[in-house]
Order: sequence, then C-alpha cells, then structure tokens
Amino acid sequence: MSNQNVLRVCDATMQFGGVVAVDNLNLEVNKGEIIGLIGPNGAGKTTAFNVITGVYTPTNGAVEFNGERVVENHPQGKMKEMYRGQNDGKYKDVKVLTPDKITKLGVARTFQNIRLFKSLSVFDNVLIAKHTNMKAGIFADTFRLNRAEENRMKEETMELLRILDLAEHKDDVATSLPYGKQRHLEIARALATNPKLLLLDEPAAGMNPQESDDLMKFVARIRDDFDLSILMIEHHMQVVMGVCERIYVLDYGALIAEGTPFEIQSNPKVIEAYLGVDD
Amino acid sequence: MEKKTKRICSVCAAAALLVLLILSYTATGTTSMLRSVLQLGAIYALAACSMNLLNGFTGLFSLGQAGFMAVGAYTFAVLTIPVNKKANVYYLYGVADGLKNLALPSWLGLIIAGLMAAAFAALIGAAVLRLKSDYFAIATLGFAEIVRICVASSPLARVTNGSLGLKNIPGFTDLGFIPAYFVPFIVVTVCLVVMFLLIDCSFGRAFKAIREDEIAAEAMGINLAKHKTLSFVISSFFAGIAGALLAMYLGAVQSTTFPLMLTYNILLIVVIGGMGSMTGSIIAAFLVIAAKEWWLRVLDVETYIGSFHVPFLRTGFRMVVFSIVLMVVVLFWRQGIMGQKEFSWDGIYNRIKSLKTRKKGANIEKANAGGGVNE
Repeated sequence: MSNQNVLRVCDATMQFGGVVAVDNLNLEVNKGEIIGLIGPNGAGKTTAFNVITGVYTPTNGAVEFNGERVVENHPQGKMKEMYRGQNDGKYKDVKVLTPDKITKLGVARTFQNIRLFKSLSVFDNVLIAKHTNMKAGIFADTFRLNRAEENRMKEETMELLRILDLAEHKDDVATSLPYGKQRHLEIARALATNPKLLLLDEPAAGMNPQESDDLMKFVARIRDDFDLSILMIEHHMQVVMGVCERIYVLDYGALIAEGTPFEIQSNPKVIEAYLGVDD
Repeated sequence: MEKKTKRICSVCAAAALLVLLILSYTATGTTSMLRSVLQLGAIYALAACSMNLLNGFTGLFSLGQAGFMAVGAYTFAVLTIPVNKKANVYYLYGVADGLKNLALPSWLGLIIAGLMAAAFAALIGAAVLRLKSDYFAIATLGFAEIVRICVASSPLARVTNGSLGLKNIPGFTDLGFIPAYFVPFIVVTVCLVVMFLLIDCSFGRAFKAIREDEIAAEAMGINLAKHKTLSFVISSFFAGIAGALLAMYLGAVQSTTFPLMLTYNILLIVVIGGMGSMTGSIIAAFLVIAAKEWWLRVLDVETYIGSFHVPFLRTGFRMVVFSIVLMVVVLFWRQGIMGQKEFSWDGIYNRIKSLKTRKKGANIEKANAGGGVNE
C-alpha cells in the first residue's frame, strides 16, 4: 500500500461556546485504507465528520484532502478570548470550502440518522448525486442539448443500483425500503458522486449481528471495486475490529489511542473509556 | 404501457384540448364568460406554476409572487403604451423624458418584463435566500409590499403614474392568421413547456433534492446558494411574464391590482393543485378561476323561488362559499388534487386497472354472498 495521504486532519479543534467538542484531533487516512473512528457516545465523532466535510468550521486547525488544504481556521473575534484548545497561532489562514465543494473534490458521506430524499424514488436519489459532476449548464440541460450526458448519468446510476442490489427497487419511494436497504441506498448515493474518500457515519446502527457482518463484507468490497479509502464511525466493536486496518479512539473530543485493532483491544485507556474503572 | 401508445394518447389529448379551445372561440361571443375565464385561468396557471417551482419544488416558501408580477406588469405597461396615447395616460404628472417616444412591440415587452422581474429576484435573492422557512416568507412578503408602495409613490410618478396607475396598455392582438383570443394560451403554453422541461432535468431534480433535505443535498455536492438563486430567478421570470399577461388582459394596472391577496389567491391555487405538481397547479388554476368568477356568481344574486326569498344570497356571498370550499379542501384533502405527482398515462392506466380489480373483487364478494344465501 502506498503511503500517500488521502485525508489529513491537522490539530482540528471544534469549540461550541465553552464546550470543546473536538480537541486537537490529528488523523490520517492513507490511500486504500479502511479506518475506524470509535468512542463512547458524545465523544465528538460526528462533529469530527462535520468538520471534515465542511458542515462546521473548526475553531482552529486544518483539513487536507489529497494534499490540498480544504479547511483552515484559527480562533477569531470573540472566540479569541474564549478559546481553550491548543496550537493557537499555528494556523493563519481562513479557508472553508462549503460541503458541496468538498464533495466535488471527492469526499462523500453518509449520515448517522438516514437522510435520504424521502419522497423521491430510489433511482432519483442516486441520480441526483450524479448532478455533482455534471458539465452542462441549466440552459443546455433544460432544452435537452446534453442528451448524451444525461443518458450516461442514467446508465451509471442503473449500474450502481445493480452493484448494490437495489435494481429491483428502483422505482420505489426511498422511505418504503426496509431499514438495511435504506443504508445501502445512502451508500449508493454517496458513491454516485465518484468519491475518493468515503465517510460512513455508523453504517451498522440498528442492525443485528448478521446484518452488520454482511455490511462489513460489503464495505470491504466497495473499497476494492471503487478504489476508495474509507473512514467510518462505528459503535459495534466486533465490526470495527473485523474490517478496519487502523482505529482511532476519541473520548471527550480528544484522541486517546490509535493503532491496529489488536493494539486498541488491549489498550487500558480504551477499556477505561468504554467500560469505566473502579477507583 | 408502451411508449408508442403513450405517445398516441398524448397526441390525441393535445388535439382534443386544441379542438375544445377552438370551440370555445367559435361557439361563443366576445363577451362570453367562458372566454374570459379560460384566458384568466391560463394566466393564473402560469403564475401558479412559477410559484410552485419555488414553493413546491425547491421548498422555498415565498410570498413575493404579487411583487414580481407587479414588476412584470408595470415594466410591460411602461414600455408598450403607444406613443400617441401617452399624453392621455400621464395627464397629471407628465411622462419621463426617456419614455416619451418609446413604445416597444408586445413580444419584446413580455420578454423584458420577465427579465426585469428576474433581475429584481437576483438582486434581493442574494440577501433573502440566506433566510430559512418562515423568515424567507416574511422577507419576500415585505418585498412584494415594497414594490406595491414604490410604484404608487410620487418620485416614480413620471414612470408609473403614481396611484393613478397605467391604462391603454395594448391588449392581445391577432398573430398573423391566429386570432387574438389564442395569444395568451400560446405564450402560457410555451412558458409551461419550458418549466416542465426544467423540472424533469438534472437541475429540476437538484431543486427537489433541496426541498427534501437541504443538508443531504449539500453533502451530495449541490451548491445550495447557486441552485436556490436559480430557482428564485427562474420562478420570478415567469411570474413577471404572468404579470405582463395580466396587464395585457386587464388593459390597465394600478398598484392595487397587485395586493397581498393576489399572492394568497395564487398560493391557494398551488395548494389546491398540490405543492410540487405542475399539472395540479394548472388544473386548479382553471377550476378556481372558473368557480370564483363564474360558477359561484349565482350566489351573488338575490333570488326568489315563488314568493320565498332564499336567505343569504346577496352580493359577495359567493366569496363566503368559496372560502368554505377552500377550508374543506385544506382540512380533508391536504395533498391537493395531484399531491406531488404529475399527470401521466401510466398513472391513469394504473388507476383504471385498480378500479377494475376493485370492482371485480366486489363482484366476487357479491357472488360469494349470493352463494351463501343459496346454501
């Protein structure tokens, strides 16, 4: 595996008022890796995702994607006095791309609480994501001057649905699918944007052991088929241990451990965070 | 259903509509209620569809429709009033120097009216599109009121003629061999076809995605600011054209032609037709206009049956009944006529099929019940 960073999060700190939700997070995803991000409830995992995808602007720190800085910020204004994180003064620029621009660069995500386009069909849900990489403008598109592109988008969508076993449901309304399939559809929709990095936010939430086991095999498969790097948040320990190459552990916003699944399993800090210890 | 049968059905339906429209022309006189209801219905259909594009498809609840229609109507009127009638129109304040010798042909006036409304939308869109839901509605409502008051204000009197309004606006004229009566239908049809093409293309799908879930849409790479502005500007463009058509239809406009009530009337059409259904808006526009302007008129006339004086019937009563009908629709039929669906032959086909199977089911039940008696 080449040692090329796809994603690098540098000293990211996210402070809401006085609460430091993510504290000095440093994280790297190399090309082709499947990385786990775990931690107890409220540890700041989803906040970290939101910083990476541009939904939140970090209070301090930076995010690099394929070596390009997509997000950078430092404490300003009122936050200057309130700031309780580290590395103040290390970052000078202010650059925050909006989520859609970051998606265009090749970062796609799914959501913890499924966010499908509810009343649209399965096919349209995926097809809409194809809009991201469309070249034609609104005029050409309205007057059907880009038939070839439109047809290609539809074919690619159909292909994706076939790969993800959703082809038979293509005309169903998204919310009429069973829960597991809805998760698949979210992943299909994310894949339709042609990502290089896929962020999965608790893909196995609400699944039984058998289903989550299947899901993990599926995640490994799409990594190979679509040439992806994957960063995922997951609560099911067994699942994470099975599929991830490296794991980061967050607690109270701060990184408390990183390493291979084996190292993490025996790390006393992780055990303490998850199970608590007797005094 | 196969593509070929669908195409045949579509052609037949279009031909039938055309024949009906021509019949409505040849079989009636110039003062016929049917004629004016159809024309006004078409204009309202355009206004409703443009509002639906924003409210129903992009999920931006705007109440600025009357404002954009006023911009379109006034732009059209100012640009197209014939030169020799200007002195008569602007008799009190005089006409602005630049406009003295300006009278554009109607088609150009229509396009400029649309562009002007679109320009206003682009201008205020940069600010108001940052607002969400209710706040966006309030801001656009404010815009509509500002437009209404501005056109009646004295600094603009030499252009908009203040509160006197503008008259002698050129109406519909014969288009070659096509009689003037059909002109609004042609303009509206062209606009509606463009809108149908738009909602069915990738940008239209992106609009729907924004309606369904803004956060997910943005995460899927849809630039919210750009797409919302596009939707707002395009919607306003067609609202401007609808306003200009209304000016042509009425022949005169005042600031009071575009009150808040106009926005609400159009919103009602959109809701009755179904938020997110263009065909619904079109059907509802004709129904509402026909009911309001024509069918319910009988309620406005004091009536005696024999010597019995029918109670309640007097001028204005139709609006009471109309309002009650609306309330019933909103209470019991919230999805409107079409919900979020568009008219399609498949839809009709399936509806008929399900009716048939239901009937068959009923027959079988009946047969079974009959059998029970025999035993």
